[in-house]
Amino acid sequence: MSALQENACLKRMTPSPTPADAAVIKAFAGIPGLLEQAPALMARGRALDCECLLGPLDHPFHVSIRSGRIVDLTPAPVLMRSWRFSYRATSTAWSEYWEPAPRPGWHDLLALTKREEATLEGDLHPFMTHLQYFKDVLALPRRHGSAVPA
Amino acid sequence: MTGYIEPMVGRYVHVAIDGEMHRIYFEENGTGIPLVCLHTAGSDGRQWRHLLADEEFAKKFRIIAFDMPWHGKSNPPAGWTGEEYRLTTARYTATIRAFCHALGLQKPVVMGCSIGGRIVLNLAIDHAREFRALIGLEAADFQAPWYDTSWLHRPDVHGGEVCAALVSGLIAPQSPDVSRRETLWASCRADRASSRATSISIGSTAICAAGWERSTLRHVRSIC
Repeated sequence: MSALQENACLKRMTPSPTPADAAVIKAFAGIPGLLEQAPALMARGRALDCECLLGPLDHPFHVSIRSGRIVDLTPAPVLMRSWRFSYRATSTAWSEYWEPAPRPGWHDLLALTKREEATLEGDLHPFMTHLQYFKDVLALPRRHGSAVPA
Repeated sequence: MTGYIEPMVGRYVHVAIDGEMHRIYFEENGTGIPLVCLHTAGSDGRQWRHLLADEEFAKKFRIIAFDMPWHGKSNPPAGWTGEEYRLTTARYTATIRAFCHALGLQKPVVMGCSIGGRIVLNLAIDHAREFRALIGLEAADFQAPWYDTSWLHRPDVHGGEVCAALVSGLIAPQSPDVSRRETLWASCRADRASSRATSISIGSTAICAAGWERSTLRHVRSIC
């Protein structure tokens, strides 16, 4: 089986996105652009180089971060691509997280893991060393008013 | 003089806790019923600055906020030789009672937040007669662990940054930005200061995060 065939096989194993998923996926794809408009946030991540998996539970993105800038964001799965940690949440969780004033328990990445709406996996070191950076980067759709309906 | 000077004043009181002398920093303002305020884990009395400066409260209450030993401007005791800081229910209780005794407070009100809100439950259980009222803010009889506190105290992670980022999840989203920034600033610096003397805030934060001591839990359950 060729690499292309294997990749196609991987994609067939991924469930089709629901309309709610699609809205979250679209918002997620806009995060690198929003980050480019937030120099102070990028500066906070200036010591961070990391490969991670972020996004909706069934439709995450491989994210490459270099010196605090997202240089690549590609929908998973990608054949044999590695990541150090993964933070994935339900589409409902992302929608709630991006509300202008999120409800208690939906307002914070760790609160979402506590209520089992999100999973945090892998080597947590880069996530914990840059905890506020990731909280703020993943909240960018909220700040820019492009949140999806909850 | 044209600058506005806030009304609270800060001083040190020497307090014997479990037979060991401590130099404890406190700020106070007002006259009347003594109101002792307990800060949250790893923090210090700065958290109470708005209440300390409140004119209406100061008319009826002697508002007092002290820094726990190893926190804020209260150093570790002179006899400290580098061992790791650990706060226990018994130690916290002894500290509050010793502080109140050292200042000669007659049946004070004690109000605490978070870890301070938990210890007042223990004061109510074992020492209720010594206090006029006990107030718990953001209190709980038990809290399940929600993060691994070891991330706060290791050489390859900035404990202060992690501490502030964790605290950010405890701030309501609608909180004013100025209050949010002040809280995070203090959280980050409080932990940094503590890291110089092993694990000041770590010890007390650990209780917050990993569940209150079993002795308190047992007592609280016994009265529920």
